[in-house]
Amino acid sequence: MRAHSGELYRYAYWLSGDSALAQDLVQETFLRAWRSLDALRETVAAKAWLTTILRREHARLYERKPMPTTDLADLDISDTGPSPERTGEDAVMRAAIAKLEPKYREPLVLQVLGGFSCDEIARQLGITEAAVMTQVFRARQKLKSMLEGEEREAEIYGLP
Amino acid sequence: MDCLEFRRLLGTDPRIAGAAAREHLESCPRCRDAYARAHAFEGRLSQALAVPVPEGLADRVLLNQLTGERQRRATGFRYGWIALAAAASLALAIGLVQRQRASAASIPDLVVAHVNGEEKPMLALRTPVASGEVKDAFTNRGVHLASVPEGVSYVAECPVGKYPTVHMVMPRDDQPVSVLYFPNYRVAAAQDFTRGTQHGREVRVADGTLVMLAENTAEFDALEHTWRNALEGPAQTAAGSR
Repeated sequence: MRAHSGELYRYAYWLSGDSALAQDLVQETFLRAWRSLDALRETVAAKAWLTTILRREHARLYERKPMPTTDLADLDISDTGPSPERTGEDAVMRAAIAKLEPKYREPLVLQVLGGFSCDEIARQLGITEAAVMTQVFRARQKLKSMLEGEEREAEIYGLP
Repeated sequence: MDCLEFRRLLGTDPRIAGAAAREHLESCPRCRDAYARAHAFEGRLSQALAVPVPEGLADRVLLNQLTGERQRRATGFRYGWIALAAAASLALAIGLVQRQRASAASIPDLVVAHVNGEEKPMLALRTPVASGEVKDAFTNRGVHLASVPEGVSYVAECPVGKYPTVHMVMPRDDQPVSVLYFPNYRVAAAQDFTRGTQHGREVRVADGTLVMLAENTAEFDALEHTWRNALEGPAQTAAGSR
């Protein structure tokens, strides 16, 4: 359960943008999971099953709460500490991720953090696989644009 | 597969796995550069997404759950014992997965999972990258190379588990050797290991740990010597520090 609770917490954090809410969501997810144990057909599917429960709980309780964001220029990325470049990079990247619209951020988090395929993400989010592919592509494009000012690759590669 | 398809695939899911994509990657230097950039970006992204998990979260969840169920039972919840049994069953079921994952938490297992997962296509690369790329990757990890070994066909700054690493592929006559350097992580004792048909070695070099993985150990001694020279300098290597 420890491995799943950590993964679920991170997913919840990127859904809600708030550590306390994320912990509540994990708690509520396991509560509901325990009450619906018969829905778990196979152990290997536990992660996807728990993720789905957490998404529904977030939608039910907190979806209207906007994700708090930080202006990139306001971040402390000073050159002190044990690994300043890593700390600074993470802070800048996290602020950029928080600025993504949920429709881009959520499939990206599921892909990168959860390790889910586009097909699996499509089933979890109830959208088409093509839509997931476009959203994760655009999510990366937007992040790069925010972080590095890279050109809009989606237009170059002809994605909708 | 052409460059357009490859770049589109790269932006959609950088875990390139298909044979067509691997073939294109091997034949196209520009797409290989793009892959390296995309991979570096993915490393930054996954590291940033992995926000710290509050300490004791799992314990609190379990405690709250069991406490809550007891309260429900005490107030007359008819099927409280079923819920408790279900909680125990779920904890057991999920625990099985947890144990499987826990067993994969050692450095050798993390390396095997990393090399055989999204990085597997890189084993096919044989064209050497520029020495500057290797040097830059180590510099970005805060490591100075006294010299840059030749014959690196792939280099990337990969997070492996919680560890930042420099991941390389060094093709040899009969096999590719995956070489990963974990800066600032010092293995307690050098050891050779085997996972299925793959053989590996983890050994402390300079202020970090060098891990090699291949189908046989034939090249390990020579490569360990080479990387000691590169990371520690010839004087320390001659004195022997394994």
